[in-house]
Amino acid sequence: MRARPTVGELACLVHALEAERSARPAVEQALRRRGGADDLVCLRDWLGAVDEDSARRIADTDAALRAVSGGALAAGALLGLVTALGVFFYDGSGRVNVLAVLGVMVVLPGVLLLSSWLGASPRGSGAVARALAALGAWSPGRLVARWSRRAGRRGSSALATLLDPRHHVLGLAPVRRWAVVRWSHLLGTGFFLGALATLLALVVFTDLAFGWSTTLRATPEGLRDLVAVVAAPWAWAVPAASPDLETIAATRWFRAGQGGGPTAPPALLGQWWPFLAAALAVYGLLPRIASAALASMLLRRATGRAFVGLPAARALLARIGAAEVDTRAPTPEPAPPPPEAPRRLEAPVPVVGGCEAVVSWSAVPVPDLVLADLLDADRVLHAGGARTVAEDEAVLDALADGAGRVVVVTKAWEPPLLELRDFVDALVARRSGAVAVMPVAVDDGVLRPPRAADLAVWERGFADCAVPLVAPPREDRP
Amino acid sequence: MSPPRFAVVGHPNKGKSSLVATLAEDESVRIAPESGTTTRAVTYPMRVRGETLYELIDTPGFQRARRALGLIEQRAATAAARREAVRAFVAEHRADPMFRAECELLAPVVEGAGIIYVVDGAVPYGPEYEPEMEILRWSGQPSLAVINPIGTRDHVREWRDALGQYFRVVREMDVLAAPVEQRLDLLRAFGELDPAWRPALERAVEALRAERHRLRVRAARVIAEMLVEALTLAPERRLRADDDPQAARAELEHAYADSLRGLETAARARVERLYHHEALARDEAVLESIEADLLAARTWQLFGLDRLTLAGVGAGGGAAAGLGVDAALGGLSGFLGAAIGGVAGGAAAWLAADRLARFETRDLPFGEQVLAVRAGASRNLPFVLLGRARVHHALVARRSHARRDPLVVEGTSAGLPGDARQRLARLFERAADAGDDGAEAVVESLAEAIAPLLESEPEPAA
Repeated sequence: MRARPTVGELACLVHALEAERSARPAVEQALRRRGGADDLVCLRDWLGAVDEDSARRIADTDAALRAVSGGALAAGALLGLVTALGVFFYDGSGRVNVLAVLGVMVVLPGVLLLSSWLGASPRGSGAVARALAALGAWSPGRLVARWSRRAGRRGSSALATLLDPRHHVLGLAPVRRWAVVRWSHLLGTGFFLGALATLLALVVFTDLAFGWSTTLRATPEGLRDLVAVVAAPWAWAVPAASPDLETIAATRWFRAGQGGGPTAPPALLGQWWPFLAAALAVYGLLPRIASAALASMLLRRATGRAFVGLPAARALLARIGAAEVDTRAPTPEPAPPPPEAPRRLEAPVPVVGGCEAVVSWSAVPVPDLVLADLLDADRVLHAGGARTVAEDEAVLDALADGAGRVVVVTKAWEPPLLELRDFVDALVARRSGAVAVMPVAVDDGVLRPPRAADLAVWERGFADCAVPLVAPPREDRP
Repeated sequence: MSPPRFAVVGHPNKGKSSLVATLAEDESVRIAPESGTTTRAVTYPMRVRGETLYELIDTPGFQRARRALGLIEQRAATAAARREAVRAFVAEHRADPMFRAECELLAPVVEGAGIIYVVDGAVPYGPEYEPEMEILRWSGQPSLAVINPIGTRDHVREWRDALGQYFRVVREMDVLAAPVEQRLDLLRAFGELDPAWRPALERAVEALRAERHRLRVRAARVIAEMLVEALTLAPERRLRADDDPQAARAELEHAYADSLRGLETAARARVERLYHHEALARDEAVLESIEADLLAARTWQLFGLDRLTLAGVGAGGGAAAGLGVDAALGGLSGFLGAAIGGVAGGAAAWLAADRLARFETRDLPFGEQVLAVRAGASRNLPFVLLGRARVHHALVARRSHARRDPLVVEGTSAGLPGDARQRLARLFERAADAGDDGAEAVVESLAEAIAPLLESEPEPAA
């Protein structure tokens, strides 16, 4: 698909960019590897990747937008019908004032048309810009936008993001503005279609009597000149739609003094309708259709620009396109199995009765005599560290079959290794007496309780071991 | 030729994975205090445009080094046979659960990887390290030792003495705190282990340096977008007939402040993602509660321009505008325009120094009114946002990917040079004036102005 992005597609992109504030590295990496695509294709691929349902969502949003546009057209037509019924109201007692019709149906909408374009001009912060912005506030398209935001139709969440001016999205202002302008002109188009249809229906099914009436000092000749100018665009093609001086002079009407009844031949009184219909079509309907078409074109262009130009989209494209250096693992490291509940350190080892032996694992930097005295042990043996496995075996042999307590003292600042577990398991297997492991800190040759962080490592490391972890005895022991 | 590979090996819990996470800038590396968190070797290739320049391999720590050394010794009758003995040990015990850790870590080494041996310089050297260092020496591969003091440097000297006997090169680096340049130096040192590896490592270092520059430029763009969004932010609130104007104003100001905070938070998350700190966003709740608020008075004192400087900046802008008038009058005004513009600009900036928002009431059709915040009315706000963004960027850009603590954004930014201040002030004004339509052009200019300010990486105060 290489077509221009639709407003619905833009709405879905904005919505997805807002929702994807936390990026998807995997998606971006996949797009990066694919490479070669232009910005539009890349963003479409990204949208498709982060939102599998995006095609349907886009279609729904575009359908919702079409429905809103259709609604604007219909609302305009209804307004045009009601206005025309009022303006062309004729109960046989007076005449339909041509000048009033031109004022209400041509001049006023013309002013509104002009203001809608001026109000849509690019903004700044100066007084003129603010005045123009105030004109824009009167645009009926804003009402349509507000109504469409509120309408709980399909795809509305993306639509709401797009249309809600309170939702500040940098780069979206032109799209919002041209959408509002387009709806304004669709409303206007509907208005004139409704008004024209009403006029034609009244002309066909009722008899209308037109006249012209003004308090100003006007002459039929003067009005004829004005009418000639107004009718210039069509007079060459439809002479009947350009009233002549005779008709104009005959249809002048003063309410005072004429009793409110028509005096001119009734056939002459109806001859204004082609002129009015043509004026409505040429000065009302056609500019609105042209404006709606122009606004549609500007909206399409703004949509296309915003799609690839939104700062968030540019940032995404930069992420996809510029990451030339990649240092990370292609696939993240798998999660570890859940840890077992840590084995809590038990109370200080009871020294009453003493220990049969103390094993200093991996050369705990405390003199043997201190260890023996502290734990009331008969002997201190050494294993682990720089000693060989054969030397460990000799220690195990020396302690085999004992029934007393053996405490394996280890350095708490080093993590528990499996070779210590091997040794402790072998000790437990060969003896009937209790075995305990005592991770210790050492400060200048004096045993200290381990730091909490080191202890936590040991508690987790021995979580699945039956051998208890014990704390060093307190120095104030008896 | 295959790219150089480096196996990061050592005792468990000595910072191997931290070193890998830092050098690979990958926060997905598992780092935990438990011994044996890494259970298998994981490769982190460094690729430039798809070409792999080197590979880092995170490995499990030695668990039964003495037993393994014993078996290897049995196979090596002479020094010449040691390398082969290590290879044979790996081949024979690969499926043996007893030596799973040893085989996982030695396999890349016997396949030709360089050795990066990591120890903790904060704890004493012990003889239990010798069997594993012996195995690594016997492998015959080029090797480098990294002393990573996890905490204090109490034992670095004794480690240097011991490691020097086993490894060709010994480096010290606090993995969690090392600045980027030091990390790149370490990578360059990897290349010194074997002349054949040097070109690839040199290219990698250059590519990483260029990537850092690119990231700074992109971060500047993110910050510029945030600033322009903040400057064009103009929330409004419909005024009903029964609304208390003061309450409505307070409510709108509150909403405005929330939006500003939201913009700042979102920009921070984007900068963090740029630097591959994606998990930091999860700490956002903690972050917000511990750091100074964007709109706190102290924040404005720290990051905003003081009243005098702000008035100076305003005067400069006003004088420039006045000069335009003078020029239009062909100098007939005798620089009166510049003088008047300067005084007016300075006075306006002085008066508005502390103000966050300016309000205006607009009429709508059918007699309705809206209360709106005037976009970009605060002259100091963009400087405050920029100052905070610079500090945040500095912290994120140099933060190791091995750190698991929440990011605490505190400190202050280095002062802005005078010309940068003037240029920024003009761009901020342009952003506020341009509205959404001209935003893109201002973002570009602003990003250009901000990028060099990020180069200097302000030092966060303690």
